[in-house]
Amino acid sequence: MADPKVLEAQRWVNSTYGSVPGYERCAETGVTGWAVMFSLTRALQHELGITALSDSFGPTTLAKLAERGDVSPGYTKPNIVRIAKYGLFCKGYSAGDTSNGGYDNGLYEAVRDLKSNIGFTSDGYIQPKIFKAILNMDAYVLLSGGRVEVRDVQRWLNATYITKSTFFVIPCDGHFTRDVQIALMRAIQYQIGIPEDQATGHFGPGTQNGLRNNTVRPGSPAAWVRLFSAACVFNGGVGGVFAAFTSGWDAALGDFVNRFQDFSALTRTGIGDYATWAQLLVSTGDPDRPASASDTRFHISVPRARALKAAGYEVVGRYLDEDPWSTLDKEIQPGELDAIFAGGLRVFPISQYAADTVDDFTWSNGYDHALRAHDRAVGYGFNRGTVIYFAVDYDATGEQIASHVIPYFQGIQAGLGTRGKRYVAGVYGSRNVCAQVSDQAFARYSFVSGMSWGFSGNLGFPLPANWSYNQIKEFDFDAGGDVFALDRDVRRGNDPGVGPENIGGSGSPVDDYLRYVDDLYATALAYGGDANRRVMEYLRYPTYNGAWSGWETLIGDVDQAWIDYASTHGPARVESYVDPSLGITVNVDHFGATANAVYLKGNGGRGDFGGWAGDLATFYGEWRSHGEEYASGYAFCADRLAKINVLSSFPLNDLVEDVDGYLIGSAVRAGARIDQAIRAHLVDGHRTRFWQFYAGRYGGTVTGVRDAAWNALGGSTADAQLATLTEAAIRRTGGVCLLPSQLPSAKLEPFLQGYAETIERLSHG
Amino acid sequence: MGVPGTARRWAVAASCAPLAAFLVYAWGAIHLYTPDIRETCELEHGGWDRAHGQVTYFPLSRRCNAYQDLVPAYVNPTVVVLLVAAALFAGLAVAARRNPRSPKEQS
Repeated sequence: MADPKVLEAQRWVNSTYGSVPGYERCAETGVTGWAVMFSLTRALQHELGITALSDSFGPTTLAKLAERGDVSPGYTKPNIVRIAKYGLFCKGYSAGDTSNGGYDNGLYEAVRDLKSNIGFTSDGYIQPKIFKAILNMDAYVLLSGGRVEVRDVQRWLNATYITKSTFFVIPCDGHFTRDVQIALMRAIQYQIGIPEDQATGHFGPGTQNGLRNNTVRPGSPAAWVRLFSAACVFNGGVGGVFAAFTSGWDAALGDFVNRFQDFSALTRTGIGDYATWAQLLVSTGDPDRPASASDTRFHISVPRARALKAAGYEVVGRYLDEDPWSTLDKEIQPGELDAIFAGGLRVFPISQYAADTVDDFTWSNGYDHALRAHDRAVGYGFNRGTVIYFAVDYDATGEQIASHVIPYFQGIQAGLGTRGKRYVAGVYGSRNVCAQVSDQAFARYSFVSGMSWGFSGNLGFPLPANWSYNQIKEFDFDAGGDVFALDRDVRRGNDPGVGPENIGGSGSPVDDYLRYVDDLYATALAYGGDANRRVMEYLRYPTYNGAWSGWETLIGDVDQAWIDYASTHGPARVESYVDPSLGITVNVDHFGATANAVYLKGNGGRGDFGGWAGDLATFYGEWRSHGEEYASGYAFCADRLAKINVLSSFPLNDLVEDVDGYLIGSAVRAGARIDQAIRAHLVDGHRTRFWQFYAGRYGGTVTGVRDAAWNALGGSTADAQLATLTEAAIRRTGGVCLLPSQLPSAKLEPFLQGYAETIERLSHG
Repeated sequence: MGVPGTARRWAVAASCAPLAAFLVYAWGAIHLYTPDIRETCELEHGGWDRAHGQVTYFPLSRRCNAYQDLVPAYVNPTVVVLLVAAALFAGLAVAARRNPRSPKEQS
């Protein structure tokens, strides 16, 4: 939407400086952006007497400004004052009267507000670095998805280090980014004692040595604890636990460090040693730390495999295939898998065709690459369920990830789907590529190219939650005089890779679960009564049963005599299985509870609450408890709903359990046998599960989803007990918050729309 | 003869303490409720261990794992302290009634 003051700024700067050599006009749209900031910057440079105009607010501009002193009352260059005012308007600050170049009270208040947001408790005068902060698009208020704790550290960095010659104002938007990481690194370098002009923000030898000499532990100096805890805050949560910014080491920080070290596969020391510092600051971490995985484009013979094994490696990544014109000869050779296994190693397959420029990444290419990778993997005999890592081997920017890489992976998922989802897609790339692809295209595991520490996709991004391998160093490996290039990869252990037992089999990862359901059904038949219902009860017990979970009220408790009988006479309990489509872990009890609710109560009302509607209620509460970070419910859904990598009350596996529970519950309610319905679903039906759910429950329209979501959250009050359960679920995560029916429509609608569009998007497969 | 002032104050305290204990207990009991204990524990209490999760009423508890409980840690000690205080206050009230300290209270 056009802002009249922004439009005035664009018109003024174009009309005033349009004829100045080197000035570049901005579009007069009334919409703020880099273009108007660049035009204002060039205008400022002209006013300062600079002739070589540039978009960059660099050292010359700063020096020339400094020569004239702070912009304050009595400033003698009215146009510079007007540039400042227009810059502030373009940043969203009301900066007084722009009809003249006088320094008025409006400008003073605007600058004081901006400086307060930046972290200063100060006056309204404009120092050169503040002017630089005005003429850019950095935000100094919390943006959607930003964290208050991160914003507070950003402010602290600004307030503490602004006097350093090489430190400039950083955003205070609550987001950890490349610029923020470099600022933190500079702060560390100042603390180490590196001269200001040599504090580049890079993780060089001087910084590394400085950190080796400054392990942070209980009793460490406050300055070091602050910087270390700041790095921990920027890293984000580990398993739902976040660090706090502190000047004194406490038990909470120690607990976070332990969790971070476990998550990152570092040795657990509980203190801020060098390996932990490095892991917090750069994507390589300490490249010389122990690593038990590797990958290479070179063939692995038995002697090479044995040498790798002797050197401590357990698994090696190898390429499935290559383009016909490739001269690298990097693909797995006949007999090579046997050689790898004979040497005592396991293997993880990588698929990389042309994948090193943005134009290589299209939906169609992804589809084609998936078919070729599938065919090659079948040719090598890899079993169903094997994870194949599809590579993004260049520094994709955030925009390119959205415009090209995500569609490419959607093509991959579609391609694997047409081949029956025999294989599961993983992703190789920078941290940001891995995180985005996992969140939006459901790559199961991330093989992170951490050794490319300078990638824009690695700087300012934490290790993705689903990382499995982290590539940290390339070097020449010497296998008894046979030298070849090898990448060292830290191995987390969640993807075990492929061993000889995973080759040549015809089974599926869900076979054990299907046998379990068959046996359970047979046990239920022997027990008597409604065998379908008994199976569902056993699956959901004990988590989704009893008064304190609300399930007694919702659909009634299980038949305890049957539970006792099945525990004695039935098969050993299976608690989870790996989904054949997505490779994620499906919790059997949640699925069973949903199916039971739908089976007993049908579509709508209690049947819904037992599945997706109950999760949507807790997710709504979670949104309201994050109201400061997420003004928009739509943005909250976009960031947190149905994700693999994000800890949320409604992650992807919850949705899969809800959807499968709905489909199986409905099928059984329509007369199917539960064991047969589950088998049919997990052998074939899973490929179209989201489309079946979208069409079956919501009528296949976004409006249908939106309306059902509204009814579930409070639009329907026909069932008072259900309304109470819904409110209790919302308050469990939301605490004392406004209920959906109390929220203004303009506020609630984007949340409902976010849910509806997520379901609709998933239905496309 | 009326009830001495000191005894009355102890008696009031003795009657208020159980009420406070009940309110704290009820506050703790609210925390037992969750429609999905796995999700609640993973989001708010560091993880879910299926071996736990059972409800006990004294002490009030529903554990997520060996280390974390849905019931805030202060609830059970506070309830115990309040109940002990109630007994103590009741005893003091009886003692004050039997042995009034001031002549005014003796009258």
